[in-house]
Amino acid sequence: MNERLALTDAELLSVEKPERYIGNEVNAVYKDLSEVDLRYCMCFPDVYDIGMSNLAMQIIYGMLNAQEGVWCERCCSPWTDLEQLLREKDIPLFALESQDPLRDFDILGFTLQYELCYSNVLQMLDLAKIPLPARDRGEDDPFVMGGGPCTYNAEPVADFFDFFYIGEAETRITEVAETVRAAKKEGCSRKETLLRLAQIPGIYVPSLYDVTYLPDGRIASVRPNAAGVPERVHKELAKELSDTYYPLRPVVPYIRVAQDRVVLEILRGCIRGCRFCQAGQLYKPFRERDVKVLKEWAIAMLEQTGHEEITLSSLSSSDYSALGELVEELITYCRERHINISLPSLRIDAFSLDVMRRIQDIKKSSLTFAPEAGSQRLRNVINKGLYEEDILRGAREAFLGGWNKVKLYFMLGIPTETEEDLLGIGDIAGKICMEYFDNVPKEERQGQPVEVNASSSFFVPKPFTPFQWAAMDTRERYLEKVKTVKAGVAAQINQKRIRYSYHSGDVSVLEGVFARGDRRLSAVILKAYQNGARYDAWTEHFHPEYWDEAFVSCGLDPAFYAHREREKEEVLPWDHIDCGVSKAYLYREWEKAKAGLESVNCRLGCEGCGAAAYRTGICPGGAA
Amino acid sequence: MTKLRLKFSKHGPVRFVGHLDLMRYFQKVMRRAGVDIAYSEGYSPHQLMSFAQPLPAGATSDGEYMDISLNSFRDIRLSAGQAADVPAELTEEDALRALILRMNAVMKEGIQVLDAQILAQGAEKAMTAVSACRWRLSFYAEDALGAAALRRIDAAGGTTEALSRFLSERSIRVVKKTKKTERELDLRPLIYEGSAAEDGSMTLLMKAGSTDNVKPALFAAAFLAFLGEDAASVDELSSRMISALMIHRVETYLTVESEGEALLQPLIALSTPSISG
Repeated sequence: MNERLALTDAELLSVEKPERYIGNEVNAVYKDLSEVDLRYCMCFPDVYDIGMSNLAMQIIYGMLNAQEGVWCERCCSPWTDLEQLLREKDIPLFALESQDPLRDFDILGFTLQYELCYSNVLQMLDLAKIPLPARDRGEDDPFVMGGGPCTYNAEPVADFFDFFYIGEAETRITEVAETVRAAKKEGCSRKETLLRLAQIPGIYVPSLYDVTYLPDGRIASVRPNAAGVPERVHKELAKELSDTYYPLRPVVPYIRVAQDRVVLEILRGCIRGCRFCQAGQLYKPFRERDVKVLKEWAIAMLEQTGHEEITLSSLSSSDYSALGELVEELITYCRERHINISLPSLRIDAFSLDVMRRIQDIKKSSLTFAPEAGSQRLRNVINKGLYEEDILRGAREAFLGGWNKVKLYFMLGIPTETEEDLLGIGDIAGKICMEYFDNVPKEERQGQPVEVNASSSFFVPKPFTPFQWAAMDTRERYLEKVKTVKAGVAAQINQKRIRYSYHSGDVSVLEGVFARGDRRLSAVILKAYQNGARYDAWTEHFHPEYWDEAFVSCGLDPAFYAHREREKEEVLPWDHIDCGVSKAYLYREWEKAKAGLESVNCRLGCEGCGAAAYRTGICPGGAA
Repeated sequence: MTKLRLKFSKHGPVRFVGHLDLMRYFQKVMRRAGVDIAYSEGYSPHQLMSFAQPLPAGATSDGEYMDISLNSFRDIRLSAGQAADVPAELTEEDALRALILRMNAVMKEGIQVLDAQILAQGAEKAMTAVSACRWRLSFYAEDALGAAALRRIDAAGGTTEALSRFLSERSIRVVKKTKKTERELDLRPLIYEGSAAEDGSMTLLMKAGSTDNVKPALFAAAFLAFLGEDAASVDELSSRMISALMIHRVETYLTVESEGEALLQPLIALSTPSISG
């Protein structure tokens, strides 16, 4: 326990949820500073409630703290009330455990989970009194590192980071810490340390690469500017997931955070190959964890945390080959102890309905389908591998099993989308209602007829997907499409049983700009931050005017990044990063998408994406 | 089913953990310690656990209480085979001691179970039994309002003098505000004892419970008004008192009848058998 707090009682009691800032949670790690020679702070550029729900944060925290002489602490973005207080009283941003200023650390490791957190990265650095541009940092400043999904194209924030870690933390994070520790001991300069880091596979030091542009703003080339720096940075991947570190004693927050439960990651990657999905490509190949290992971990974590719920985490839980066995064992263990099990990302079929019936209360729960697109043609374009008859059969079985609520998720703005596709959303919702009325006898409806909740979000093309070349819709076009969908829903016979809601799409274009942006956007992010941008992912804090002004004053056009279709030959800002799938494969998939042709999933065949080179998981040469 | 009363303390950084989060914290403690706590019936069963009285966030305490119901003293983390090794003829004392040890082993240092007691059949619940609390209060000099209070106290000749003059009033009219209502009442009879220490802190034994509960803020506001502080800052004190006032709960009491006389005694009485942690 650390009795000393960076804030006074009066200060803590003047902000919302002071528990966000006091550390000292169950399983938080404390070390004696006299025995520590490398201080690492895991930084999360969003509020504690979100940061503490992040699995990567718990993994890295546990892994680094297992190293002798290394103390890994945590820091999340202060909420707006504390930010104001820190500024007024000139208190530097501090880490949760030691409560020491972030400036005192050797490495600040930011996890970049979504593009809209970029202004919060600057908020944290600024409150920590660390120069925002990496080039302005001196020998005494910490190294600022970035990891997580956004680092596959971190060019928009390249100016603010000393280096990025591309890929899964388990393989090299301790090597990164060791390298900085050794360099510090030898008295290496900042530049020398960065050159050493650049030798570690998966480490990308943006300042060691020069970007040149064509007159029209597209990229001409990206080249290393120092000897011994790799032309391309290849992602790191944990080959054997059952042997990797897993945080069996995760930190247990006092407040109810977004993920207030044990998270058991059962597999990584995805066999499906949905063309809109970035995670599906980034985490290839599909790798499963051994079911015996998972059972042991589940029990260990439940006992070490006291959580009352466990969730099985993956991109597609139905694809885990031993799901039945795992769920059986967990149900037996959890039922006696009043622990709930949650199983998101399930495909609806007879097996999953049976599992859900046993782990949750049918009356309260609803069934979720993610058709993503309203017509079969458009579902083929995105290679969803989900057919209308599957959805209707799943719904019918569910209705006969006692469910009467269905949730449907769609995206609007998918390439090649037509009015017919949009009207298809109302049609499928209507057909699901029909399944209910045709199959559930009146006397069994118990006064609560079927309820279909359809919702749509604004599709954002992401790097390392077949849609990385596609133009994103404008917000105006998106809202027009929403109107078409609404009309389609209203035209249904059972329209009273269907509710349609849609994401406002306010922030989506900005997300689209950053997702496929280049380095020049660092200036825009800095300007918008100075204008006041913070917590852009939080609707109530998003101010488009800060960003509009920043684009204008930096002379950059958001449309160039978001609404422009790219040619095959264009050098993309992330071409010097290798995520394991080839650009040739992605382009093949893009062409098949435009032609409405499907590809097979990894269990049925190999589309030659390039991930087989890892020789692991489901790929040829791998175990599963 | 066995009903137990536990006494615990709250110190250090965890003093900022609010009441609802503290309840969640203890629910997790029960699971970490393998306590065979009983659950309610119904659709969403919850642990049978109730707290004597919420403590304001930021306050410390040596006198917190909660009641729990146990199915058994068994450690449910152990499998059936291991459980057989536990002596069947465990005395109540041993069982309570083992329970306290198991809980304290999985708790943060700031929160500790101090004492445990098996409740008699039909014993009144801690929540409804509470009738008084002993508080230790002092103002924070670092807080603007706290500093203003300290100046008032100085001007009145120090804490001892100020408090004794305040308590020699026959009646102290205060307005008690809840979310919905405002009610005037006389605070004086609700303050049973009061004394000041050399460090300027005040120890007060005051009415607590479901009727006429006196929160430290209500006392502090009335005290400052008596010392001449203007109404606006007194009002502010009642609303954000906690950042101006350092609060420590010394003990929580219930009332027992003894030879026709009402006596205050701690929720786990010293005279009854209990196990200290």
